[in-house]
Amino acid sequence: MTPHDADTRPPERVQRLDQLPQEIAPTRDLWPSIAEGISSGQARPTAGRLRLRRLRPSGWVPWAVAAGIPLLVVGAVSMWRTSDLGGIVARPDLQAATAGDPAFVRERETLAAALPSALAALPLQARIGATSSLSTVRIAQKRVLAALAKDNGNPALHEWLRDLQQQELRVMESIAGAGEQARML
Amino acid sequence: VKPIDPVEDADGPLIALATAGDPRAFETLYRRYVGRIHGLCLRMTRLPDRAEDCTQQTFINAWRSLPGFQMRSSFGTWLHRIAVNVVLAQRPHHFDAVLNTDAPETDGVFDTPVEVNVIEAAVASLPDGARNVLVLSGIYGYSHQETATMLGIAEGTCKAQLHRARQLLRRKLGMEESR
Repeated sequence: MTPHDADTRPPERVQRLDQLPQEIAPTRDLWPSIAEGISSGQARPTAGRLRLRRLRPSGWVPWAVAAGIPLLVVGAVSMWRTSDLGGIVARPDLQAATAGDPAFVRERETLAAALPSALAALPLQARIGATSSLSTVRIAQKRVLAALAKDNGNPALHEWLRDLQQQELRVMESIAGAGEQARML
Repeated sequence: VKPIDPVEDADGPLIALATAGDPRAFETLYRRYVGRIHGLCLRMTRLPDRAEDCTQQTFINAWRSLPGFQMRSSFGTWLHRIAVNVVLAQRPHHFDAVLNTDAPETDGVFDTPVEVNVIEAAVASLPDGARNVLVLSGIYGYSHQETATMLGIAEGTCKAQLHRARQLLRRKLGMEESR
């Protein structure tokens, strides 16, 4: 066979490349070394470094709609709370507040500070649901903010943003309450 | 590119937890993706020890970069990009002297049928540039554009390298069959 023959032969084996296994397990468990690396490694950049300009304003609508899902998760998390905690109700004095209101900002900062310990106290499934819920609301907020940067006069967008800020507060209140309850158990 | 919905995407909650600093969630993601990442690293480096080092470094880098992950691509694709960067960044310092051999040591590395080992060995014997393109495009299914972006080369170069890789592979496998 000449090299030319080899070039023109039916490339059965070459075409079987995509049938090669994509997964090849390492010979040892690498996690212990990775765990050591991430615990002793450098500090992470904070989420604040996320570049909002990379978010596409056109995508804000589905995210805003998706942000409604947290309410369902909030309901699920509320199952953790006893009746004396009273379920998920945002403080009345904050219901009409926005991120520009000092009382709202203080409440949000307090809840945000308590969030890691509250999450850590929850069982895994509740923690996954709660974090996912919070993540969805926050991403939706970024989408709406990006849309507002291009259309700041749009009252519907401002309304969406206020709703999302309230939702974020309610989710954090719910997580804080559930975390408190879990610690008591 | 359609953003990944963190609620719909199976990895979303775990990614959110890991981003918040939960190592257990990240370990679950590690166990879900380590095979794919190690497979890529092994094919790009051709050295089992080096592949494991690169896999390890990939996940450490991923952990540090998680707050910047925008979910604009899948988590697996994002990890692959990091892995390619890790392998390429280490290559000039560690690999050149070792890889300029005609007989890559792939025998016995894969617990797979002989036929697969023959193809793997043929892939491993390709020159670096052609092999990297072939691995990303041919085995992991990335487009020319995605492959070119990951490797930091022009799309035209990527297409040329893939053509070259396929020709070389065809020759090598043809020679193998004619033995």
